[in-house]
Amino acid sequence: MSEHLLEVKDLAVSFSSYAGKIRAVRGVSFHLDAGETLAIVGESGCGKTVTVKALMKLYGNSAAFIEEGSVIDFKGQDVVHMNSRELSKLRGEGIGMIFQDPMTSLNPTLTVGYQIAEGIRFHDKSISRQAAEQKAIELLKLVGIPSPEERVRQYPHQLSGGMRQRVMIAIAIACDADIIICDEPTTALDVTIQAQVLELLNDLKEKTNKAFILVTHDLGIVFDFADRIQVMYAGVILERGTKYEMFDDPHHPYTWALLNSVPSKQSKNKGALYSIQGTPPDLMMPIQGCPFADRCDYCMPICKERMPQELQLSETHTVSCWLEHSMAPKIKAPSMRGEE
Amino acid sequence: MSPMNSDWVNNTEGLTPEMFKTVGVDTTKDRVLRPHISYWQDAWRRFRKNKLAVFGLILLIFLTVMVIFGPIIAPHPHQDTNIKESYHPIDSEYWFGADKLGRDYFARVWQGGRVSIFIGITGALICAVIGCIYGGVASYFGGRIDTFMMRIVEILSSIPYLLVVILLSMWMDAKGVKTLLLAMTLTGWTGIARLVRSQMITLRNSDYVLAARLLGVRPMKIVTSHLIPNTIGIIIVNITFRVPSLIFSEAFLSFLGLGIQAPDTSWGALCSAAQTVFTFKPYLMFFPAICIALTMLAFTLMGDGLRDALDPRQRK
Amino acid sequence: MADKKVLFDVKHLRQYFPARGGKTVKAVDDVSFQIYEGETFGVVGESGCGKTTVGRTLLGVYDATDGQILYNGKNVRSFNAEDRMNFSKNCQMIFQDPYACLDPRMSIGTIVAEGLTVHFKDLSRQQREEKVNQVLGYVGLTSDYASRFAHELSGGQRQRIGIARALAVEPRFIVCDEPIAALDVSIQAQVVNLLTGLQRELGLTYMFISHDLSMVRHISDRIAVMYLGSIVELGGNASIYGNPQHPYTKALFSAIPEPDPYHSWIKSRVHLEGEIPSPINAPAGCKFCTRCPLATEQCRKESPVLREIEPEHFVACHMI
Repeated sequence: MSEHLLEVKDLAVSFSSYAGKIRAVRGVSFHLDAGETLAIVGESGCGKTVTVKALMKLYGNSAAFIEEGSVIDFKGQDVVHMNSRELSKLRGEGIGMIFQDPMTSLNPTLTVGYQIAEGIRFHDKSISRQAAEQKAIELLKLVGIPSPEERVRQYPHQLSGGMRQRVMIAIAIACDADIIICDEPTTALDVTIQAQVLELLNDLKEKTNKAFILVTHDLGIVFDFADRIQVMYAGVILERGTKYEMFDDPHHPYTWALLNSVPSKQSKNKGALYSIQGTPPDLMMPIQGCPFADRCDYCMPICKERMPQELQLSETHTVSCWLEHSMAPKIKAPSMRGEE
Repeated sequence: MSPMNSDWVNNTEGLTPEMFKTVGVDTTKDRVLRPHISYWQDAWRRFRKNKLAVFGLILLIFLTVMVIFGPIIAPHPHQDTNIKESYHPIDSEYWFGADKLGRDYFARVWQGGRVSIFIGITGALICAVIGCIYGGVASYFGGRIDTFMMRIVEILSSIPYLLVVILLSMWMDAKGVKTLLLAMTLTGWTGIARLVRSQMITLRNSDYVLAARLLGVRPMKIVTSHLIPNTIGIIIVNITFRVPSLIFSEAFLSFLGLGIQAPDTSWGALCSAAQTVFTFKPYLMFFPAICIALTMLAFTLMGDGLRDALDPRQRK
Repeated sequence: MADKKVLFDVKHLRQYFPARGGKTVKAVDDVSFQIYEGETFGVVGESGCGKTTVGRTLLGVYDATDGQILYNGKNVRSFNAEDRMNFSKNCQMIFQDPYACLDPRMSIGTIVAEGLTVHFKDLSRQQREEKVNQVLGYVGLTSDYASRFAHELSGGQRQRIGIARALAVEPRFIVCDEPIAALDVSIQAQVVNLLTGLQRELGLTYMFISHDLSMVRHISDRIAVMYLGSIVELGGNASIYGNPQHPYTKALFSAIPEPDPYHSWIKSRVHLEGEIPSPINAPAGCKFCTRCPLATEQCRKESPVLREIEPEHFVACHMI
């Protein structure tokens, strides 16, 4: 029994494709407590979406499979070996999810109210249609949609992108899930709408005791919204810590690169942005050594040979890098964000 | 968090200082990792992986070989009648038996196959040529001309072609391969015209065509270097699917007596002639019918495979 | 800046498109600005603001519904064939979607050389190859890429090929239409570094269209902020980002996520209620009046024009 709300140990998820086995997630461990917000940060292909979808086994057994030895423990239950009935209960009631693209995540042929009420009625068989619709209207009000009584009968195409995303949020919290997973919730939205949606999520975070997992590649959002951040690359976690630790004292070269790639207020106009050379590795090959070795400015021969273990820098801050070894040269983090 | 063994940072066992020298990024490694293949080679590779499609191709090759060489290797020429051998059963002398007039059915079937397949492929090609030109012109001009041309297409495609065939054969007072081809292609090109036109319009709005326009490339050059190569795939697939439907149409029409007439024969004509004695000599219908079915299957399977192989979006 | 040569002078540009039901989409509605040689002119705004349409109309993809575009002092409508050739050589574009901007059937070398067959007709085959290799070198790719095909390359590499194709004809001006929107963060930095480096080396002028406000701030000299087809604020980088005046600009900039755990931008941003109206149903008068906290009757009736409130800083607002 874990003392955490969610505990994940050595999660490995693979896909079988016609060209071979793609190891999308290669041994990821983390935990989440009630009321916490964890951000999983990384670029496309790093495995962050696969990781969170695996928490609810959203892939089914055909396309992807969770490798043996993976442990997903939610409130004491073993998710990896759940049967379909238990999984249905978990999805919605235990864990809710907000998807990236509101245009394609809502069913265009069903009203918004129906889609919100769908989950409610599934998890509570005794509730009547009218009561469920009433709940849907309340939820729409909660997520800040004006004139909810009218909107509840409308179809997704009659709402704007920002409103659709709010509907997605309403669906995710409809059954009072303990964990809400937000998979790139604002990537497809305009800047001002993104701010509105994030503010809504922030509100929810403060008013309820729900835990949030935010999956994104946008560093600007995570430092405000999340409590803890973990950086993923090629299916493994390279560094994790509280947001203060990750901001003030990042240790991994990939984290430095990510932080530096984003121009900020202080960066010199038209100055060179710190960029990483090369491209992410082919996930079909088993990777020997650190997956970031090919692209790391500080790469050493040992990095290509063996995967570094995790070093615990504080109770919350860990990093997997050979630079931490006593025999490695002491590297100072490059000046962040192009400060002169 | 489970307790972590952080002693590894101080564990120097088996490690040398050499392993910790900074080497940085190996810039020669920023290469395209996958082997270099063109679009067509890649399509062929994907086609090959599709077992059903390959089966279709093999089947088609087999049928083509039989259709070409069948009448030649047959023990008796297909047109030689021999009343004495009427309805000769299947044995080593008459591989498919003999028909009512004592003709070698093996030779007859493959001879008929020549006609059926010829009509299928020729008809499909004629439809493709007309359709491409028509659709290309409509999409090139756009606006009113395009609307007008497409209305004609709609009208033509709503006419039942059986009606066209009957009227045409009555009017031309002739039946046979030429009339059949004319009838089938008179309205058969409408489908591909639509396809080509919509594909061209889509392509015209794509970014790379816009880039070519901005570079100052002449419209004709854009058509030949961008629009046509990207449409050929669709056309090939369409032709591949058209052939079996034309073969079936021919069979159907000949079966009704509107198509191939004696002494020429086709699979449909053979089936038609075999109708009356079906209960006594089922093999007379059996062989041509199986051939029709196999040919249609072969083209359809190949068409499916080609469509998947040539679709650029499925590229991994 | 005052001595700089004006490359483009746009006056009261309008670009309307017909929509269903007899309505009109006013994608660009009375837009005026200038682009100076050698600068990066950033254009920012959210969906429906018309920034992409402005870029495309500038290059002649669409015929402007109304207004004047002067290129090097000459009106583009009065171009003869030679002017048009010259224009297409000197003014190029790079596109947003790296997966759609390259012809999948053509080899990279052919793609990059496409412009050469138009503007550098007299090159021998070998000279053409050399030029292709040279331009591939500019974008940081080796010559063996010339025989590859688009589907073999990553998004960042494809975007570089798009840039190479534009560079091959030796342009003076490039419209960058959301060039990094579809790329990963670390690749975005690569491409932006490439663009700034090329500008320094080759003396290029850019129009950089993007919704990524941080990137625009990083790369631009002057910026135009657009909303629903109109420019609401226009000025130098420092004055726009340092001293935004228009209520929309203020709200927009405060919504830029700033990575800083000690300061919550979500909480401290300027709140903007409501949704962005569709360009078909743009409000009469000031486009922003439906969401503006300062809106008055005058705003609803009368469309404000760009006024200079400090040197080289223009705002279109009745309330400033």
